[in-house]
Amino acid sequence: MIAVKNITKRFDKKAALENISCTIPDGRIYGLVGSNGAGKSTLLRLLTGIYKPDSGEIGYDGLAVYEAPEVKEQIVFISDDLYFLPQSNMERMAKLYAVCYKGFDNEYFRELAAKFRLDPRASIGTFSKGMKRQAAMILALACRTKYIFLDETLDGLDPMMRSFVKTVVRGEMTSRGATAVITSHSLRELEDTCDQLAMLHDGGIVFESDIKNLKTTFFKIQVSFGYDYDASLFRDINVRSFTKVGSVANLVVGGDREQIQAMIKNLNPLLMEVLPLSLEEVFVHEMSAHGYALDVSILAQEEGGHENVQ
Amino acid sequence: MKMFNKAFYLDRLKYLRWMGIVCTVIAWSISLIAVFSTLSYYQWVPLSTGPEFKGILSASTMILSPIVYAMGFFMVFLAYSFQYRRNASDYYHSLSLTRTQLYFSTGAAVLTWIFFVVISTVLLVNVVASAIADSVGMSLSDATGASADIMLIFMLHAFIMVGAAMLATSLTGTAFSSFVTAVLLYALPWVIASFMQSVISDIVVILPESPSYMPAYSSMVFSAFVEDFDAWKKLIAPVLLAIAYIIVGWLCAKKRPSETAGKSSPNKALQTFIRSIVAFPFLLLAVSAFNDKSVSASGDISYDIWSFARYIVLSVMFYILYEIISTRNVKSLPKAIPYYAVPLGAALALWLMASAVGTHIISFQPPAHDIEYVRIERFTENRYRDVGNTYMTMKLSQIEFHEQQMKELVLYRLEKSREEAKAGTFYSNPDKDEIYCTVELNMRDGSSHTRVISLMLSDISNLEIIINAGNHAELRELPLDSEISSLEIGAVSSWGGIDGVVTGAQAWEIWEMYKEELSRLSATNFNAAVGAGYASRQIEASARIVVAVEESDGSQSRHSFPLTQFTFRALDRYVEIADPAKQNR
Repeated sequence: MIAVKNITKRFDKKAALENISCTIPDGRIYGLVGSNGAGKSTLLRLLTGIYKPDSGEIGYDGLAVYEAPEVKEQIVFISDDLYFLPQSNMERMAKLYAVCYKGFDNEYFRELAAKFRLDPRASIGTFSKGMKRQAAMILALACRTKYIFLDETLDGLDPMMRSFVKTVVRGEMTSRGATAVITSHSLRELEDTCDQLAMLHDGGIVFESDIKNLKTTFFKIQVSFGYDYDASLFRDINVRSFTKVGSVANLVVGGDREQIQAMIKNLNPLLMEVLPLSLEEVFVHEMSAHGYALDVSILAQEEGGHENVQ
Repeated sequence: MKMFNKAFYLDRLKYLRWMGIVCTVIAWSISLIAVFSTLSYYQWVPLSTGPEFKGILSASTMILSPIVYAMGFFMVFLAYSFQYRRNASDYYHSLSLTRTQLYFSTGAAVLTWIFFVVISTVLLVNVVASAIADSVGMSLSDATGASADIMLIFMLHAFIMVGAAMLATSLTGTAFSSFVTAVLLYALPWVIASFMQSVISDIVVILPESPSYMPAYSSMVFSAFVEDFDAWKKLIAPVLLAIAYIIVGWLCAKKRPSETAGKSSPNKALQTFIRSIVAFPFLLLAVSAFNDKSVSASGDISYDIWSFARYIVLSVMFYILYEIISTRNVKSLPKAIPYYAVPLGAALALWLMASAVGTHIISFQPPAHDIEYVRIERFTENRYRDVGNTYMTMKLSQIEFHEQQMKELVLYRLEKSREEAKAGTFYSNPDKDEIYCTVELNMRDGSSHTRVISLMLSDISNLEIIINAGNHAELRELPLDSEISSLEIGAVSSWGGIDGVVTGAQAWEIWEMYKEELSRLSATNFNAAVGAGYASRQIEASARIVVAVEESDGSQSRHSFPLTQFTFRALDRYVEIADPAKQNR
């Protein structure tokens, strides 16, 4: 288990992360989502012992990670900004990993390279951006570490490969009980990959929850009444968003679904419809609640744009 | 704590292999060319006992100097290049290695490659030079010892270069900052030592040219250090400096955040430090201008203000340029400029310190009873040029004079010399009736002080009387035949050398006659005959015997013995041999 307690990290006096705490249980896929500059990559670098927190503690089953090779041997990190040795191929990189990771599985490395259809002897410099990400993924998985950290690694892959990588990672987690921490801008990726999600905003964790729980806790209700009303009518309900067009109001609410439905029914609605929220919508509403306005449609377009490029 | 990771070290060796191989090939090729050139030179200009291997090795491996310089810096920069790019830095710091292991394993790989280049090149030169010399009938002496010496020197030298560069990479985050810092760190001790020496020498002209406080490091930087390889023990100080660089570099590397990569330095304090050492050498030159004072006939003192202003401008320019280039941000300049006071203050402090040391040194005038004994080291006609027979001076320098008269004479002249130094008239010697004598005052408290004193003609007479009164038998000893590696006799030429050179058996015949004639002379006549620096009579010689003597440490020294009327038979025999016309008569 990774326990993060009150960590703060500053760059040139500007706080990148402020007093962050979270717990990452073993054997789960933990997603970190957040806007640009939210501190996702910084948190990952702190978790992998690359950065030293200015304050707070990070413990892997109680052991500190910074400057601790015995802990880091159980950690592999794939950065959003990949690095390979100059003029190297995957075989050369595998040798470097084998130097640092006693558990590096050369056979598995070759097996994965074959599955991903990458030539281990080809110069990595000739690889496309997506192929480089695959190469990094293969090398990282072959380290057979207990923890794997992926910083926006899925974002650079085409849909087919993304799906394949997810399957491989999911398989790793299941077969070995490994733990993965994945950051992404794409909520959709995290939605169907992660077990747990934390939302980072402005250097702090806005909320942390199980994906299943998140989906069932937040939902949308469309409602209409035979009398004039406003948002104050729902003061006893956790309303995250309220919009009204004519007599029909759209509410985004959080809490126990059946209990909320019963409360609204007591108000005698003419119409009431409960709609599920996508993870994107939850994200947007939560971010809005913390003063970060983002239109769902823009988010969707951006993601669509990404896919078109790939 | 595990400081070194063997597997990572081997990986780094592999990582650096291309640069290592290229440097090896260059070093081998150019050194071999130098071997052939050097041997062909010796073939046409043979020495009586054949060329020394040391000479060939030194000439052939001279090319190693720039290669070792280049390798020392560039291999470190290549090996630690991950420190300059954020993604590379994050990658290496994510691996299961401590910063200490990264630092030492990488540094060891760099040193291994440089040592390999040095050792393999010296061995190659040794083997090839020996083989060629054998085939052309030359005899090479001292090959093994010379090879070991030169390898050691180059490896120690590489050690300093690598140490400075390793520290620089730990202090900075870009290749530019790292290179500038490495060069400055490497040169800074030399710059400071030279500055101290310059300031002190300007104040205390009665100090010898190479005072003992000058670190051996000064001879290592920017000089053909191979010439120094007989005195490798002097290199202990530079090696300690290299070790200090590496240790400080390690401490900085341990604290260095990964996010420093791509930034000129990890924090503002270090950025100020690096900027300061960029400006510092120019500021030292600027404050040195205060020593370049000229005294007019009326006693007015004027300083070289233009020189001061020139170096101040240069220091400001480099200070600003470094800040702009390293940070790529002009906006940081207003905050950086006030810190210019740091290097300026440091330069002034160093100047004041050197001046205080100089003032302290020149005030040294001990009472005679505090002196245990006096040694006389050298006679010169100005600051640099020796006078008198250097062999006899060497013999004289081995004698400890405990005589009261000697102490009093030296102290009397020391006081006069100090006064001349303060008045700026020392070494002016307007009437050419002075010579300068380097003396070592060994005190009863165990300390020793070396000074140059001026001696008037009357003082030289007194000195000779004191020396002769001591009946020092060793002062009548000449080089033993077994010590002489070459013997040449010739007429004194207008350019200071010798013409009409006689060598071989005829030279040895004249040398025997010369020795026999000298043995019959009185002490005073002996001193004049051999041209001793302490001889009150200096006789002009028309011919000289030049003797090359093998020293106990393996080095060679050349000494000149005049042929005068005191040794007329030897002189006459030389003329007979050298002048064919006379021979025919």
